[in-house]
Amino acid sequence: MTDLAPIVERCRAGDALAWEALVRRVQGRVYAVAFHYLCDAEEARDLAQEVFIKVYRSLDTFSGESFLPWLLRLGRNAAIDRLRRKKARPQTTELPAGAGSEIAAAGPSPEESWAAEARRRLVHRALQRMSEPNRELIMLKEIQGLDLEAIASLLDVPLGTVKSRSNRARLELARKVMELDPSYGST
Amino acid sequence: MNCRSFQDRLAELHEGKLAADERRAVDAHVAACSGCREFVALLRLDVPAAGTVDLTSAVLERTSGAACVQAHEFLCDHVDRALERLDGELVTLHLAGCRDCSALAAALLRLSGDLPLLAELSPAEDFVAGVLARTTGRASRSRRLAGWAERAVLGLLARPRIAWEAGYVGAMAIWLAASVFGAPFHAELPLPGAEAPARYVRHLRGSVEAAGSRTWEVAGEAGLAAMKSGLRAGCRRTAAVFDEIGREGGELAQAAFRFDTGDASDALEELTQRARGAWEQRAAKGHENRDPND
Repeated sequence: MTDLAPIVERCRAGDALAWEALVRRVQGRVYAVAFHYLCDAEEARDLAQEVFIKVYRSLDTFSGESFLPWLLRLGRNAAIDRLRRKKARPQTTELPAGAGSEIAAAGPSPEESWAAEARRRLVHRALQRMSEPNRELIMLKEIQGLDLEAIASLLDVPLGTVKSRSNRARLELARKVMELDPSYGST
Repeated sequence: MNCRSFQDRLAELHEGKLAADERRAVDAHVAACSGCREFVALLRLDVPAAGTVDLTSAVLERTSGAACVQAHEFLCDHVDRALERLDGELVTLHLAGCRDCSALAAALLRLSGDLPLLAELSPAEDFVAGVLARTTGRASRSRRLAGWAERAVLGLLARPRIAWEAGYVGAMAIWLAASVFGAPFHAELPLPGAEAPARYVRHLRGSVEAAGSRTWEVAGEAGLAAMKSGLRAGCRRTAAVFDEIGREGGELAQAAFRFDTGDASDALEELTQRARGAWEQRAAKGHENRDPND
């Protein structure tokens, strides 16, 4: 994702056009994080909207740090607060229909796009079978691309712990995927 | 050639590096010696690859055990190409001989490409419109005004003589209030306490009544008419001054909001000079004996 800093600065100055651009640029990520935690398309949309409201009201207090980790932290905290209020682990669910990102859809050919979409759904099912702490690590590091330092700060754990847990999480996910499809990786 | 010298040349014979005359001597010895013929036969056997793998597994089983557990610790870094060179070679060798670990590494590699595809999901076509409806619009206008006002205030507070200037403005505001409301502000100020406002109102009423009675006694109807006329003239003059001060005050405010410190400073100085002049004038005349026609 190209640098958001100039757009964020304009938003802080009250530029409505910049705010709309920012919402369009990151709506997919915010919704993906919300869906990862809540596992419900409607609730995830509602939470994503709430997160954007919070971002809009908090822009005055945002400064100095990278925008994306700050945004993901807001999203994660909002999702966890909502889960705590619900007091029930959300049921596993498939990816929402038509929720594919443009990246997955932009394959060189329809067959490859279809295969990529099928693998995406397979990986999502495997993710749902993981332990929650490891699943969250995969979401933050491997999916959203946060670096180890940002994750350590977000989860309030030592950097070395994050690295070792991250590797174990990846191995767990690889095994879960292969339980669902033993040929995954060889095709 | 004897058997010992033949065995010394076995490696070169196997690698095909013997000179022509040495090769003839070896061939002649092999033809004559059955024991050395068996050596040559062993060199020519093809050892199946599976045999070496089974041998490796068998040796590991009887020594250190399978290295898969240790290999798993390196697999993620191996896929990320983040291993030291030697560690990378060791892991590569292990993967070449371990089908399970090789499949796991392949899955990790595929996941590194598939997982980022889950980073963004499309919420709905009207999602952005919903967010904008709840954020921009009226809120944006008030946000801009708030930002504008904040910058203006911060700019004023950053001025080096803001304390003096604020004092002048405050004194001017008090003088203006005194000019507009007149006598009551020159009366005794109410004492603090819960009944102070009621005591002040009683005092004010008494002062007005006393002033009215005294005026009538002194001037009578004619005096009252003159006083009214004078008050009207005084109000007109006060209003005119007010206009001027209002205009200059307005210029001051505009300069402040434009963040034009030069114009703001000039306007404020003009205002404070006028305020000081008017104050001195009143002090010289003495407000207790002021002519109602002024």
